[in-house]
Amino acid sequence: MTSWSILIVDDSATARSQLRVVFEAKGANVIEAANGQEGLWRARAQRMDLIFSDVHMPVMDGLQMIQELRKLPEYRATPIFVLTSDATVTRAAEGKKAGASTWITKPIAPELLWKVVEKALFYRRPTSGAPGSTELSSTHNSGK
Amino acid sequence: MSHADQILVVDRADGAFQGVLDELDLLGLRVIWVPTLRAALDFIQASSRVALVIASSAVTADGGQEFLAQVKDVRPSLPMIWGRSSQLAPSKPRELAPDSLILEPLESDALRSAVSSLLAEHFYPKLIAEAVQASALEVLGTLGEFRLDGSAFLVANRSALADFSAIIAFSGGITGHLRTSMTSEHVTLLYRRFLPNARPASIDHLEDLVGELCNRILGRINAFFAQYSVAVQQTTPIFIRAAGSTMRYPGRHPSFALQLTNRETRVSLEYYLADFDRSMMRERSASAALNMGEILYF
Repeated sequence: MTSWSILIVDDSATARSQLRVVFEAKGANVIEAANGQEGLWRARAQRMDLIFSDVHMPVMDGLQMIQELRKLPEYRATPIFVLTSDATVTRAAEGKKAGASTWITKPIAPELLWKVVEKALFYRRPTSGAPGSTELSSTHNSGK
Repeated sequence: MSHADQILVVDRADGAFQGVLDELDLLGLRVIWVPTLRAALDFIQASSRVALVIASSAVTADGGQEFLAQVKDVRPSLPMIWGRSSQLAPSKPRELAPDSLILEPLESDALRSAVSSLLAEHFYPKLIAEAVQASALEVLGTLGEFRLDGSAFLVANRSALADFSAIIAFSGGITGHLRTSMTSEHVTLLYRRFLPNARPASIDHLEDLVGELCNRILGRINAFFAQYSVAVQQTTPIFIRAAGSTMRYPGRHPSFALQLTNRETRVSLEYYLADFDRSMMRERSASAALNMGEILYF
């Protein structure tokens, strides 16, 4: 059985670990990246079903990464969640403009996050992992 | 708030306060010394930067009441501390009184405590002080029942560091930094609460957790400022491992410090505002910021 591939992009290793523990327990395949540039590289190398990204990161911030991802055909409809301590509405509006699907302010219980993941991926079948191999049964949660 | 905030000390050259000027300087404040109340009044009238007046009993014993009345006319909210000789009779009920009286000969701790208490509002208005406390308690509350240990206090621009410290600078409508510090023992315990089933944490992970807490607390503080349309951009954490060391930064006024504890751990926090204009805090719009854990679907 193929599981959902979830990319977690955050410069905090402990924040990534906290999500990894919960998501893997639910059967997801978790891939980590420490900044936006690494996140882009991981997403290009392997097709992700859903992406979590922090905003403030070294090298490349989260919003810039999302903008770049949305330029790729295989990530136009992928749910991309911003998970950040930045709770300002103006910044969230910038996230929406960059192409984020959802803005979530830290901290939040990882178990609650999983419910949000399930909701976003409800109509989707897991990808096989190769870039461009997405199988969609619906355009629900288009990410825009 | 200005870089040139001053403490005006009124004392004779050989007076009781001579030995504590260094203490005040260590608190990160610019100390101006004058020998008489007349000179003090002239200085207050000429400079709007005086944040606090400290006068010894040697100079207030004669003409102190007149001085208080004149200062209240010029700067009604200017706080004053007077030294009080133990032989001096208590003031009469109808007399004007300073904001704080401390016994002479002076003890450094008593003076520092009185200064810190009176200047807290000057440097960190109640609204901001409460926001910093609430933000820290809100974030740490997800990891246990934390409470404020003692009261908040002001510290000089020389911070005592613990085993692990993280600093995040911010700029925009306000500038400054937030520092969180923890001992190795305490952060290890907190890490187990953060990741209950994880393997024993590496040093890097412990350090990272201190940075993540700093990031989350600052996020909540910035959300408070966003409600007043003050936009703040924060950077990523800088980490320091330096138990027993101090960190000194530019700036001639204090930081706002808190100690937060639960049953087993303690987190030290210092919030430093280098540049702040009170007039920014007038109109509030609660909808300009998201709550902690809020999910916004686009």
